[in-house]
Amino acid sequence: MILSGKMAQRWWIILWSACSATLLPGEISYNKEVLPILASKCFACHGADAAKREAGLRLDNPKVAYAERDGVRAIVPGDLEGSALVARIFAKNDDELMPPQEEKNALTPQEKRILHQWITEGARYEKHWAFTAPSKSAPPKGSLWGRNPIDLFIEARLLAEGLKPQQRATTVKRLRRVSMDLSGLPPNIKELDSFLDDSSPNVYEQFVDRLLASPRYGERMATWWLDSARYGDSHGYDNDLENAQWPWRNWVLEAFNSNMPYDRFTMEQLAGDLLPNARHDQILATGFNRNHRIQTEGGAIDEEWRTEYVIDRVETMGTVFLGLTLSCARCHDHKYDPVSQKEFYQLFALFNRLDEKGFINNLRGSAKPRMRYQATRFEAERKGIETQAIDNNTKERALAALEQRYPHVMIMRDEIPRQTFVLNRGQYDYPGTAVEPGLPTSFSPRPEGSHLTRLDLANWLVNDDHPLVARVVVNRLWEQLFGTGIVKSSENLGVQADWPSHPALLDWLAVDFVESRWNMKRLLRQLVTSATYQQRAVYDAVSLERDPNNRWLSRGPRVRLQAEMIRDQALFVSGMLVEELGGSSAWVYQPDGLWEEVEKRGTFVQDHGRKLYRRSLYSRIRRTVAPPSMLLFDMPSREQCQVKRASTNTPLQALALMNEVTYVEAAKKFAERMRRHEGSARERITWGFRQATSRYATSKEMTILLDGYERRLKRYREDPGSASKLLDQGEAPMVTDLPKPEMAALTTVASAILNLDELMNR
Amino acid sequence: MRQDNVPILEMSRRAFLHSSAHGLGLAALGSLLNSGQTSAMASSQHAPSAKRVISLFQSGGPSQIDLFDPKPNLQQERGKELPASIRGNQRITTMTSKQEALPILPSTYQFVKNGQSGIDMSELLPHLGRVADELCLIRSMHTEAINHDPAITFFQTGFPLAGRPAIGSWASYGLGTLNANLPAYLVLTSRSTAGGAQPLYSRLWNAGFLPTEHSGVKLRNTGDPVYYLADPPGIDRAMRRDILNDIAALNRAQHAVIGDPEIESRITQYEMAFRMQASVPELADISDEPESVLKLYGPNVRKPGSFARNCLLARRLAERDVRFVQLFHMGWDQHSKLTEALARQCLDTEQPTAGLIQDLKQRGLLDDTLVVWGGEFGRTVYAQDPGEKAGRDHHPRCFTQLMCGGGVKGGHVHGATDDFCYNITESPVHVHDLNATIMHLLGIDHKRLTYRFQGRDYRLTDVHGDVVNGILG
Repeated sequence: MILSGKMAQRWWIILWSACSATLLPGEISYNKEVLPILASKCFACHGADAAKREAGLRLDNPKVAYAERDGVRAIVPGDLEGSALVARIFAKNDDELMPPQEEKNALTPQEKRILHQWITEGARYEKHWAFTAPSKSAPPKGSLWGRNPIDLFIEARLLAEGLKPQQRATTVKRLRRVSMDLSGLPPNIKELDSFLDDSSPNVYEQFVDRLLASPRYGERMATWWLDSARYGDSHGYDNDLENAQWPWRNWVLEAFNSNMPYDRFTMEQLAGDLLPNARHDQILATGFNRNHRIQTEGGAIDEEWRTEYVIDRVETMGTVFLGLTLSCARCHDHKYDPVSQKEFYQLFALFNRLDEKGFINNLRGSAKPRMRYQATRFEAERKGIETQAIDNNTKERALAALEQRYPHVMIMRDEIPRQTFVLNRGQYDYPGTAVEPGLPTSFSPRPEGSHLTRLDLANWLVNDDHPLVARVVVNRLWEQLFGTGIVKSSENLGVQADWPSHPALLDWLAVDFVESRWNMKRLLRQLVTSATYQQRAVYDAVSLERDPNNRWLSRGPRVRLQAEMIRDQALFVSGMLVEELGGSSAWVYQPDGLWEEVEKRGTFVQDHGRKLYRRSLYSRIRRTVAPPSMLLFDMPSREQCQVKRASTNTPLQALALMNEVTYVEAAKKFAERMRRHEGSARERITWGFRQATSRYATSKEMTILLDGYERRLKRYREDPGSASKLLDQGEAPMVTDLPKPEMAALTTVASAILNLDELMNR
Repeated sequence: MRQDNVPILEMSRRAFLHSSAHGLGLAALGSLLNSGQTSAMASSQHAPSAKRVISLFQSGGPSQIDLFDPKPNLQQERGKELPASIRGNQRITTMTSKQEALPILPSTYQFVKNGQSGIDMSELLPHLGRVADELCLIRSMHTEAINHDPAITFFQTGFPLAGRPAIGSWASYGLGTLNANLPAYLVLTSRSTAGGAQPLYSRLWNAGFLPTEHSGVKLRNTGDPVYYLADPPGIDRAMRRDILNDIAALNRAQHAVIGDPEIESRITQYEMAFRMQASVPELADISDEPESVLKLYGPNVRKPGSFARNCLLARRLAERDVRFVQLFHMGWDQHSKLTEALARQCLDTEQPTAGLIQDLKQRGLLDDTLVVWGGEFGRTVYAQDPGEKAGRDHHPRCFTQLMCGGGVKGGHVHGATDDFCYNITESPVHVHDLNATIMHLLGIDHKRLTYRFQGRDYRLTDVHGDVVNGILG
């Protein structure tokens, strides 16, 4: 019998189904298994983007997918033979095969199997999980391991994976971990001892509360937020001269330290200026939308760049609060997520009413619209200066200093009822149809009425039923503490997001967070007091094999410190850290000639004294030549919004920690602290090691350190000139009455300690 | 690498386990991968013709009209307004859009035929002329951006705004390193001797969303050749080794307790750092170069930080199998005083470029080293500030790019422009096409080298780019 092509194909499918009798276990989940396949392999041509759609077929929409077109139905639920999709993905014939052979995205046999079984089971579509409001399911029943509901979710999954949780880490380890996470600094030893001596059962919780109450908390959290807010101290193009946005950073510090609820935090940054009777600080908060770069290159076209800034505001808002890649909808309807190009420009319209310029030649300071930081104080002090009987030079100097203390800050102010158009291909000079301000339709109910403003956007985001906003922030905070988010793609919770490791937990946390009225400190406390967080970070063979990336949290999170923490820790351990909350940024050490090599305008004038030793979030970032030793540890250059940092391990990091003047100087001052500690060399090093690591060195470790000290002491005694040279590094002077060979040898020990892997992780 | 392991492996499996000739990075990956899943992709890849790239980026936008794309008939049009039919209605920068007229400014330089291939090039380029038969001129390059920052960012990363990985980062990510003692992607910059050039930005060699280890490592002209390379005064080599031994012993002790594989990796990285402390100064030290070689690069080769010195260093890096060597030379932005400024700029650059090509060739390195030369856009046929001090404005609609070695046709001209050197008339090559071609020569299919970020598979060429088959040897 000769079969026709189609018949043969049908037979082949049936045969294939029979042979691969390996039905996948359980029912296929559309969201978890089918959607990732369709999204990455089919939606580009058969998705939401009307402009790129082939054959009128949408596979993201059941109505269209099930419908008959020219006598063919792509998907007939439960009917393999009737579903053209099945024939096409199994086609032997290149003309028939989907996806087309020339595309790189061929389906794997496993993917075909999933689609096959999904259609067999009825081809049921579900809304993308992150686009439906989260619900709070009861935590699974668990053993006594858990300390709070989080642990029940985690334990259930561990057991399902044939794993079990680790024991609680030692108190010292836990205090160090949580201290790094909530304050960005290690615990100091006195504080540590007072907690270790305390035998009350909730000593850890007390420690956590103390951390949350410290102003250091705001500094740690602000560092996290500045990445997403793309905060930098310069304009970011061409000559890249300095801006004056640091007062906005002060607002962030204060917001975190006063535990401003996250809904309020969101509202004030996006639309503080539009709140009724907006206060000075609420307007200052909107500087968030003005942290984008500003084009200062001669010849730039004003409207082209003004358009970029508005787009940047929309994209940043989308990434930070919605966890969506709205930028995809700049040029065309989003290929995966339900955001049309029109909706993108409706959002654009909300941010498009400023009286601003796109191009400002050699801009220094703040571009309009702007406002005076602490205007009342500024005015009072100015009057004071002007009425003083001093000579003109002195007066001018005083006024200039005043200007530095109370600069103008860039903020939002809706002044121009500018008409917005859809921009074809996203180009400023190719306007299409006019659009009014609006909000995307697919996520959450929208306010009624027309003339929407940013305030409506903000209200819409923080309404309790918004499916994304709480999930996004909870997931990102989880990522800060556990190294990886429950959704690994923390920057994207859209259709292309990674499947959550613990979906029910994420939803539980999100709902709980909203129920707590968006209480940030409470959420963090909840996370760090979980048994999951407090586990030992020990990599045994079973956990390494079955849970190599710790997705199931079969051990405590061991996470590399962020760039700022590494520097701050070195300053802290050496006793050099200057703690002053807020204020303007400082120029810290940088390699000689850094600017000249790239032809940057200006002469680098480094700050000295106290300014040199402040926490790293106050170090100036000139965006086009950001501090190299920070970039090496994965700090972003802050040219654009970035919500997730890499965690790399490179030889250049080793060079920086061994040789950069910051760390050599810190080692010197750390050695000095050790040397001034009473006792023998052994006792001094023991004390120093504990300062840095929070724990006592083992006898083996002590032997290594002490032997190293003795060997190098001998060398420096033979060559005291070298000792002097080493101790000359850095601007902080050494206490002069200490013997140099000993100090130099101790400096090498201090440097070795500061270079330990243990100090780069927590 | 804790979190970054996974995407690399996923991507590698998809993209490029295609040739064992690619050295360490790949070998290391190969041992980690399930080879069963790679074979299908592996067989669909092609063999590379270049093992490494030297990119000589000419920042500012060299004038194609004065250097590579002769328009002798324009002499009769001097001072006349650029015809509207040629000008079209696309945007021009605000430096000339407000000018009363756009008068044609023919080149003041003669063009000469070079080599057996007879390629026309400016009299400003005598040394390059002598290697003309090695060169492939693409006269039909075009780009999208019209200002330096977005244009150069676009060239380097395939996108005009910040955030995407540089082409060298893609190469490092895709192919890994061939030399365990040096980074896979090294960057050198030089300033114009005229001074006052367009600045550069570190994003031009940053890894963007790729893991930071793929960022270009800047080889510096002053101070430490690599940031923080030198030990502080008072710590000599033996002392450093001694301290490093202690650090390693302490890290090993921790590893025995905790078992985190990341600690082992840290120990390895510290050892590599120690090796770099020897290998980098050694490669930057040119005292072993004979006079005959130095002469090839011209007199400036004796000045650290000059383009000539950087070209020589590029050859030394190529010899050491550094995968991607990226030079930037600033100073091609001749908005005014074009005539004198251009001559000076050529004096600084053309002999070293030719010297590098000859030097690579005499060592047999040109066959598998791709050399690329060009800027972020071209310059206008019309004068900016007509008169004695006339210059040319930015022109993204056509410009010339040079390629050489590494599997590219020598003595070849690709594409053509109209009589006004304003629009392309033949075989346009977009920046994405050029980048696709560079990747192709390295054995990478630019459509397959992807990295998942924000839920999307990103690549250097976005959704564009066609390999320019016409220039492949």
